[in-house]
Parts: sequence; C-alpha cells; structure tokens
Amino acid sequence: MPLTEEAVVFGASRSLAGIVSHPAEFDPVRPAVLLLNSGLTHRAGPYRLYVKLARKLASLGFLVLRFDFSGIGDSGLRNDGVPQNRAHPLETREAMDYVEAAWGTRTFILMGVCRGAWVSFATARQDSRVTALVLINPDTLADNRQSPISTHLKTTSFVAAAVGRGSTWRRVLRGPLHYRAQFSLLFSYLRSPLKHRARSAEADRVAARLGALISGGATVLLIMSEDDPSHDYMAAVLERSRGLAKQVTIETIRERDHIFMSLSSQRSLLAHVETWLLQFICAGTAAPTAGDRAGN
Amino acid sequence: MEPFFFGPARQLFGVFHPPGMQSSRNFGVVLCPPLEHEFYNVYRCLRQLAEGLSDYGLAALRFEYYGTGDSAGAWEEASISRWLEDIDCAVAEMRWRGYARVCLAGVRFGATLAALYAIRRAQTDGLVLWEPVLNGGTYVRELEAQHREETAERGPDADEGRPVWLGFEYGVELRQDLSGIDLTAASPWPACDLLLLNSAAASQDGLALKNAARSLSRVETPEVSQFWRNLPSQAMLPRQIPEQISNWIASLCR
Repeated sequence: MPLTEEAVVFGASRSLAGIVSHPAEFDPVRPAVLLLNSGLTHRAGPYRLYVKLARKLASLGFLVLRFDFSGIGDSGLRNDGVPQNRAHPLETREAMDYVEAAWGTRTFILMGVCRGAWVSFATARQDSRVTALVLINPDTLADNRQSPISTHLKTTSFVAAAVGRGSTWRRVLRGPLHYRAQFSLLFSYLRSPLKHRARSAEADRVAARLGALISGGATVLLIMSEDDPSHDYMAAVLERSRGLAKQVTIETIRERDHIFMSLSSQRSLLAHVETWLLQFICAGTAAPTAGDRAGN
Repeated sequence: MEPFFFGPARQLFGVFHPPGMQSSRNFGVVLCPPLEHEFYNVYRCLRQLAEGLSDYGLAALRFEYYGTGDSAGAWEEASISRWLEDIDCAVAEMRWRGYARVCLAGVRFGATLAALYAIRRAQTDGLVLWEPVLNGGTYVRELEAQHREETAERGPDADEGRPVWLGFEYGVELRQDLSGIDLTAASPWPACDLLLLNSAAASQDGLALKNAARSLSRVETPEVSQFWRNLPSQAMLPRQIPEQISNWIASLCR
C-alpha cells in the first residue's frame, strides 16, 4: 500500500513539529496511532525505530503521527512554566486535536518506548479518545516518575543471573568495571525491603488505574525486552489485581535491549505490534488485505 | 522554521530557517548532519546552530540524507554517492530560495561528505568542517569498537556476526565506500575558504587536513568540544559556535 509522509506543525502555539505517515486511502473510522518520544531522542525514535514503526503501520492502513514534545527535536520550548509531566500529556492531547481536526479521526492508539509509555498511560487517563495503548519497556507508570518500585537499573532476574556468571566475576577481578555504579546498584537492592510499603501503595494505585482504563474499553499491549527493569515493575503492578494480567496482552522480546539497538529486536517488536493490531484493532474496522501485508 | 520535504519525489526531509533579520548577504548555509548514532546525539544542537545562524542574518537549511532520519528510504539502501546527490539537492533548494551563494557546514561524517562534495563538484562558496572523519577505514573500525563496548554486558543477539553497529547495518558496498575515503589524499580541493573546527583530541587530524588542503585560500582552526559524543540529554552546542561561523561567513562577503 503506497504511503505518503507530510511534515506538520501544530499545537496551541504551532510550535510542535511532527511527521504524518498515511496510506493513500485512509479510513477515518480506524484509530490513528501517535508515537511518543522515548526520552530526549527526537521523533525518529531510538535507532530510527519510530520511522520504521510509522511506515509499517501506515502500510497496514493506519494514519501515524510521530512528533516531538516541547524542547525536543524540532519542537519549540514552552514558556509557560508547565512541568514536563503535565506538559507532555497536554501536548499529546493537542496532537490528537490536530489529527481529529485535519483527518477526522476520533479514536487513538498511543504508543511509546520507556518515557513514551509513561506519557501514553498518563494521557489515556485524561482523554477518552484513547482506545488502545502500546506500552513498550515502561520503567514506571507512577504519577511523578519517581517510582519507589523502579529504582533499579537492572531487573532482578538479570542481577541474579549476572551473579552466577563467570564473566561477571572475571570483570570484578580484571576490569573494566564501573565500581561506583555497581555498588550503587547493589545498595539499591539491599535497601529494597525497607521500601516495601511505598511499593505496595504505588502498585495498588497503578493497578487500579490500569484496571479502570481496561474496564472503560481500552485495549493494552505490553511489550518488554528480556531482563528489562519493566518486568519487575509490571509484575509488581499486575499481581495487585486478580485477573488484570489476563486483560493485558503481554509480549516479551528475547533480547536485553531497552531501546532496541539490535535489528533483530526491532523486527520482533514490529512483528508483535503488527500481530496485535490485526487481531485486536482491525477486527472492528476494514482490515488490510493479505496483499497489503505481503507487500511489506 | 519551516519543516518540509524536497528533492526528487519529495524524498528528503529538511527544515529551512530564514534569516532572522534583514540581511543583504544573500548567503545560505546548508548543514550536513553526521551519520546515524552521532546524528541522534546532535539533532537538537543542529537546530540550535541553525537558529543561531538565523539570528545573525543567515539563511540555514538542515536536511537528512536518504535512508536516514525522517527522509525516505531505508538505511540499507543508502550509499555515499546517493548522499552526495542529496547535498546537491539541498544546495539547489537553497539557490532556488534565492540564495546565490551557498556555504556547506558539516559535522563529523557530514563534514566529510561536505568536503567530498566540494572536491568533486566545486560548487560551494565556503566550507565549514567540524571535526571531519578523515579516514573512512578508521571510522568503520571505531564504530565496530564502540559497538562492542556498548553491548559487552548484553551478550550476543541475533545480529551477531553481521556488520550491525550501533543499530545500523553497514553492508559490503557501504563499508567499501567508507574504506575508500581518505580526505588527506583527496584532490584537488576547490578554491574556496575553509573553516575547520577541531577539538584538541583531533589536533593532529586538523594539521593533516590543513596540509592536504593547501590550495584552499584561507584556513582557520578554532578549537571546539566533541559534543556529538554525548547522548541527546547531555549534548550541548558550544555557545560561541554560531557567532564564530557567522562572523567567518560575514568575512567571506566582504
């Protein structure tokens, strides 16, 4: 399916910049996809991942907008003093306003890696136009991102496996080893039990919010890389509510790669997203033909 | 600031920054970005540079090569010759917008491409090279080493054994193209002025390039930091750079 890409500026002060990718014939009944910055990397995404995602999804018949939050990439700085944690969900809603006005789409899928997952979740809680979420390696879904759960840079299973590996101990003896970082990591693990109460409270809160979104009709795909800290985080959240885990589609990518540096992890991610979209999203709208899919 | 697509079939993404004040210089600057891993680090800095040049009354065009950033195509389809054609398109776009004189300003491999373009086409009114990659073979080896260092803890993945470095595959043709680049042996250099920005770490490279490019009418070499090595969260454009480049270009207009 041939696709078109357009550079756009939008938002209240027309200072947000992005790229719309869309098929020649676009059905506005189908939800549009917004790709949200994974951190400070601009809208092309880490290792150009968002460009690949946008073009793949456009070839499946979706309209996709990848854009930069204020102060990132080509978007201007805000001068109203609104902090990022409030500004980024606001700007995501401005992006939805723009797509709705320009393209007639009234429902949206929010998708993002790491920080982008956090903004997706925060925005979905504020705006009922969001009907689906793709949360990729979310390090936290807590309000202020200073989560008592996600203080570790490595997941528990990773640390446990590393302790058992000969190569780890060879590095301890011969180097190179960043002693300061490693001791800081070890200390955060030893301190973990002390924070149990705060962790439980946050996990309860996030689980209730996720449950409310799903009860409200939202569909959620959770994708995590192997040994990513998001495994610990989401396990803590999903275990708080009976049945919650069954309502979320969970996929694991068998590579240790938080922002998908390897091409194989990128391919796995694209395949999981495509399968999920065809199964859960396209079911209610005009699904792409087998020919469309074969053309990719 | 005007983001847009241009070139054949509108395949190249660019952002045009008009001069921020009345200027009679009629001079445009085409910014040539570095390649992928460094490109992501410096993206915002190149915007700041373009805005800084605009503040000093110069038009600036940032753009992305075919197969990179928001431009069309896949990285695997790209080649050095295609990227040189892309620079040609960007220069043509600048001239079409009414800027009769065009200076190329490149960072890292972008500087290398700008130099190759100037050497092969001689269609530039000034060259700003910011720590250019002088030797393509060395660049490839450094890429591979940096990739090994960054992935040491992660263990092997399904890309193992393929030339996939820092998220991008360097196929046989691209590696051959890269390995054939040696700016110190390139000739003839065009008869234009050169501003060479180098860090202390690359001072030997700077000397080598100055010797190689003796035909250039004037070479200046102020010292700068290696800001492209930092992640986007830490990469900062040295504050003096837009003014330094603008003043240098202003001297070309006299």
